[in-house]
Parts: sequence; C-alpha cells; structure tokens
Amino acid sequence: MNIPLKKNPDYFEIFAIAPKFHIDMGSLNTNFRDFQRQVHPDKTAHLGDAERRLSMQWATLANEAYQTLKKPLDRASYLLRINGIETHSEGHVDGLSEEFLMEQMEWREALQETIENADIKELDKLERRIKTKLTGHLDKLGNLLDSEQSYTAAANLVKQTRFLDRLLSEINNAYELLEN
Amino acid sequence: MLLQIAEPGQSIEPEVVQRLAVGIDLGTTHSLVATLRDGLPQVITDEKKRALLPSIVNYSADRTPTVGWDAKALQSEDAENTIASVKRFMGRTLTDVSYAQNTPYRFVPHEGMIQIETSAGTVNPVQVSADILKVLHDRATQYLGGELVGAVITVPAYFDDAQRQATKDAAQIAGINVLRLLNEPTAAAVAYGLDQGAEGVYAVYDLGGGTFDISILRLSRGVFEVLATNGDPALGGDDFDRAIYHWALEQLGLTSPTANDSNLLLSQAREAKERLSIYPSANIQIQRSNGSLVVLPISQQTFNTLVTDLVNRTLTPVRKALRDASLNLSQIDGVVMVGGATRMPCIRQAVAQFFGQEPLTNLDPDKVVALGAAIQANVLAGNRTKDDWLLLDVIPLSLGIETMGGLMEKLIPRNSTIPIAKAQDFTTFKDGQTAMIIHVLQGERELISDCRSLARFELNGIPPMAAGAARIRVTFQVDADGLVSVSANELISGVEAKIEVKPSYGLNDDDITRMLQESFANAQADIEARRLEEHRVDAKRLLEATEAALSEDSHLLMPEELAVITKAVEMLREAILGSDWQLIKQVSEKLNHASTDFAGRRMDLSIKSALTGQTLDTLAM
Repeated sequence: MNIPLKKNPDYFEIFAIAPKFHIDMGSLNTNFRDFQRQVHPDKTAHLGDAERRLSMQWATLANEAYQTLKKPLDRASYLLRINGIETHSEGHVDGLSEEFLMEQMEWREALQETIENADIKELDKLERRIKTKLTGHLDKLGNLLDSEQSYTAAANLVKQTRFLDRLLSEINNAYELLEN
Repeated sequence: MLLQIAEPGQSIEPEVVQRLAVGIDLGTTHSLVATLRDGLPQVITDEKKRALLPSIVNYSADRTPTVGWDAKALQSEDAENTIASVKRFMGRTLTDVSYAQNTPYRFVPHEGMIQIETSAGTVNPVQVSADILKVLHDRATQYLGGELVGAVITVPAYFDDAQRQATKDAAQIAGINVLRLLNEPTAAAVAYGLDQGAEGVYAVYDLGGGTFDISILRLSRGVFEVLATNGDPALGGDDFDRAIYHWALEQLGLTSPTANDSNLLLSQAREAKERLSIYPSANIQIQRSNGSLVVLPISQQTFNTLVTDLVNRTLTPVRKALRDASLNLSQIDGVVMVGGATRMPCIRQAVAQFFGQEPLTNLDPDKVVALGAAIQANVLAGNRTKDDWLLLDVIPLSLGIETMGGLMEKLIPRNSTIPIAKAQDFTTFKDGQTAMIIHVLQGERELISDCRSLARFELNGIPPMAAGAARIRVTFQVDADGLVSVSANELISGVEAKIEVKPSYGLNDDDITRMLQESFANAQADIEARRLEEHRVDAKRLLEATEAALSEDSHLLMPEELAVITKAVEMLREAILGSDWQLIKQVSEKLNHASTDFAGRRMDLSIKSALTGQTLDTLAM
C-alpha cells in the first residue's frame, strides 16, 4: 500500500525550475540527479519498510516528472494541464483542419510505400521532413506558451504535434522492420 | 581504483562494523559470488581456490543434490538427471524453449513453468537455481564468518518479469535476502566505471552462456544512467557449442546418438570452442559408448563460418539499443566486453568492426559482473563507501494491457527509468458489472499473442453502476528490481477493488512455501529456526536504522511521538532476545507503523537538502 505523500508537488517544483516551456536542460539534468541521489531506493535498501516505500514513491515521481519535462511535447502538454487544459495523449481529430489531416494521410501513405519498397533512403528523407516540421511546431509552442500565454491555441498545436510524434515512432518501427 | 589490489595496511576505510553482503552472478554456465574486502571487490573461491561454480546440479535418489564441479563430472554418465543451463528455463514453459528438444531431460508435460523428472523426483528451474544459490551462500557465509544481510543477484538486462520473479523466488528458497536484482551489464559497468574512473557514453556488450545483452550507459560524475538496453534472452555461448556439435554430428554421420554420447560430444564441442579462442585449430575427441574412438579436427575458419549467423544475431539488438538511445556510433566513447563468450576472436572482431573501435577487455569477462554486484551489495547493505554514486536503470521491455481485438496497449514503454508507475482508468461496459479482467503483458509487438503474458488480474467488488459510470484506476508499478505489481481502486465510490493475481506461469506463494518445506526435508524445527533467524536479522536491521534515524533527526518528532517510537524500540529489543518469531514480527510491524510519519519527515528533509535554498520551501512539506 502506498503512503500518501503530503502534497503532490508539480513536476517543475520537484526540480526547482520555473514552469515554462523553455527550460535549462542542464539544470533539469543536474537537479534530477541530485534529487535521485537523495530518494532513490538504493539509498534506503537497508532501512525500514516505511522508508523503503516512501523512497520508491518519490523516486517514481521524480522519474515520471523528469521524463515529462525532458520531452518538449510532453512538457508542453503538462504545462497546459497545470493551467487547467487537458490534452489527450492519443490523436483526437476534432478541431483539426482538413488541410492538416490531408497532409497526415499523405505522409502515412508515403511511409507505407517506403516500407513496401524497403527503401531506407526514402525513409531517411521522410524522417528528416517530419523532424523539421516538428521543430517548427515546437518553436511555435514555445511562443504560444511562454510569451503569448495563448493556451487554447497551444492546446490545438499540441494535438497536431502528437500526430507528428506518433508518425516518428512509426518510422522508428519501420527502421526496425526493414533492418530485420 | 577499486579493483586494484590494496597494499598491505592500506585499507581504505577505518574498520567499522561491516554489514556482510555479497554479489552473486547466477550464470547460465557458471555462477560466482563476490564481496568487498578492505573496500575492494573480490571473488570468493571454493576450498580448491576455484572462483567459478558450474551451474550444474545432479539429482540422484536418496541424496542431497550435487552441485558444481562434481555435478559436471556426472554429466556424461548421468545425463538425464544432471541439469545444466537451467537459466534458460527460468520463468518459461516448455513451449517457450525450443532448445529444450535438444536436451536429454525428461520434461513433465505441464502448462506452467518447466518441470523436469529426475531420480530424486520432479524439480523446476527455480529449485535448481536455488540449489546453486545455496552452495554460493554457504561459501560466502563460511568465508565471511557470519550471516549475510543479503545479496545482490544479477540477471540479464533483457529478462522479463517472469524470469526476474523466478530468480527472486529461487533466492528466497535458498534463504537469501535479495537486496536487489541488478542487470548484468549494469553491474559490469559499475565495476568497470569505478575502476577506470570512466566518463562518457559506454556500450556494454554482454554475451554470456545463454543470454545476450547490450546496454548503453552514460557515466557522468558518479551517476550510471542506462539510456537503453536490448538483447536476446535465448542466445549465448551455449549456441556456439551447439553449432559445433551439430556440425560434428553431420561430419561423423551420427543421426541418433545416445544421451551420453550426445553429452560427451557437446562438452567436447565446448572445449574445442574454448581452444579455438587461442589456437588456429582444435580436435574433437570422444570415446563412444560402443567403444569406438572418434577424432575430428576443426579449424578457426570453419568455426567462424559455422557461427556467422549467431554473431550477426547479436548486432540487431545493438542497433536497436543505439536507436532507442538516439545515439550514433561516433557518440560511443567505449565498448566494454562482458561474459566468457566474448573471448571468442570472431566476436571481438565483429564488435570492433561494428563500433569502429577496439573493445575494452581489461577486466576478466567472467568475473566483472559478480564484482560489480558485490560493490552494489555493499552500498545497499548500508555500509559507508568513499564514492557516492547512483545507478539509474531501465525496464527492458514495454509493459501493457490487452485491449479490444487482442491488441496490446503499451502503458510503460521500454527503456523507461525505474522505478516507474503508470495509472490507467477503465470503465465497465455492462450495467451492474462488478468484476473485470485485466491482462498484463510485456513485449513490443502489437498482437498479444506475440507478447509475453505476465498475469491476469481479476478485479472484484466494483459497486454495481450503470455501464460506463464506474471509474477504475489501475496502477502499474515497476520497482527498482524491474518487477511489476498492480493495484486498483474504484474512484467514484472509493472502494479498493480486490485483485486476484493469476500468474501466467510464475509460482504462487503456495508453491514457494511447499518448495521451502521440501528443501528442508519437512523438518519443522529447521523451518522454525530459520524463520526466527530471518526475523531476528530483519528486526536488528530495523532497530539499527531506527536508532540511526533518531540520533540524526529526533528533533522532527513531538515528545509524545518520540515516546511511542522509543517504546516500540524497547519492545523489539526485548522480543529479539526471545525465540518467538511471531512476536518479533508483530513488534517489528508496530515499530514500522509508529515510524511511518517520522520516515516521511526525514525523506522530505533530505529532498529539501537536495535542492537547498531553492523554491522547494513552497512545497510546505
């Protein structure tokens, strides 16, 4: 049974960094490690049950927080959540433009084709294109979240970016498939 | 400089009371136990100064199992009852292990974990492993002259939950307190990194007797962070022996060799493989059971051709791990070779060629895992060390659940840093539904039939509601051993839903209790004595920890809270003098309960100190 933690701190608080999209990755990495040095289960393995359980809970929370803040898209989504807007992790099409959805379909077809042709070069190209697009989205997200505080617009962009993210993981799977 | 030999009288720490702990490498072909002596890890040898214990157990009627070198000697004359490479069967059913067909054992047709019929009765892989662990445990306690606080036991990084759980169960049956299950490549990285003061990104290529792991770690200012791991849980040095064996059968025109001939040929194949790591050619020589003597020469070139596919099979996981770590080859600062099978020149060449750099082979590939485990065991036992380092490991395979249409939905992706948890909400699809089944799986493929089934959980006691109204939150937790546990509650009513665990092929608590009893030949007195000893060791540990906590942080307690804890400490101190283990257990629980809040405050304090002067004060902890 878990011991309730006194307060569930938000992920930015845990690592003592300002709740913004643009964060200093160096501080995040250092503070994450310093935090784990204190709470990791390896540090409490010789102690009593309560200490060991608490230690696992804190280390779990720290890992989850770190993973979320490390990835720009998850960080954006989390920022929106602490500002009261839930974005779902899976692709929801409502609110997305027809143009965007068409483009998605084209890319998916392109991916399917490279798999069928076992064309690694085309796969590289496709990956580069989507990564460029993704970088553009993330830049825009930074502006919307940090400068303009336009959360609704940011949420819509997060939704779109999830599609790109998903596509990149499918490309990753395709690499595995083609290499085997 | 941890692995260097200390000069006499140059002990690193003053001799405070050391808590005895060991690292155990429970290998496919052989096992080792190591400990820290004057701050240096060293392997504990047997009375003949041998470090390695062959992971072989012979079961003959009316005698205790024979383990190690003596069992190895029985391998050709008593093939059916002499079990080798049992690690390949851990947490596996008969249908999982195609390799089983090539072994001389009498398998019991059975749906759960593999069972083998022997002259001494039916045994399962957990028991066989426990018999190996017992020998290592005895070796360690004799050498160290006292009871162990516990052991770190290493497992292949790519072991799934069933295999890890089986390993932990084996330790329990052997009477060993498991401080941690540690991934083998990570253990090697600890031994190597602390010895060489390495910094940067390292690939650990670990080809053991029956398993292959690749782990990519970042070593930075005392933090060993695993970035990605991959592997093949059924590929190892054994397969190279088999390649020679099958080739030899073909060359000799032997179609159905006797079990003993087959075993003899296999061990000759292994010896030939080992000789070929040093010499350009070797002879395979066997005296067949019909009396005829057979001699067959094999060259390194022939051998290399035979094993090309096996060597290439190791490179696929390496590529996957690199991609998961988002790294390219030029970003790898060093490649560490682990496992006896990496002595083969063909492996070294392939790895050097792949990474474009010579792999590091300066630590004994047979011992490095046990040495790393010993270093970690020393830390986990609570002994002070001069280095303050931290291990951050990952879960090797994605964890998910079965969804509609027999598909697997991933909840925790592979290579997530552990411990990790994930909560998922479910709802009912029928009015008044009070139960649901959740099928937990591990693997990367989409179809559940391609993944490993870990367990089916039946959630009972959901309050009857309209379809879709209940909200059941199921939380999956992966602990620092990489083991999975599941809990659930219904959010609307606040009811804790009961979970019934049906391990797909693990052992349940009853099985373990039964094996424990069997292993003590039903001697009730022994079991009682051991329970008492176990609870005493645990209670002493708890007392020490509590006293240390009180001396550091008693200011965090109100006087009446302090009084409750002090009272419980006194009661426990008294209880361990007696011989009632149930009382010790009961009072220990009382003390644990009394110090829960205290533990929380201490943890909060250390979290604050981690980030001194920063905004954490706002957490009002």
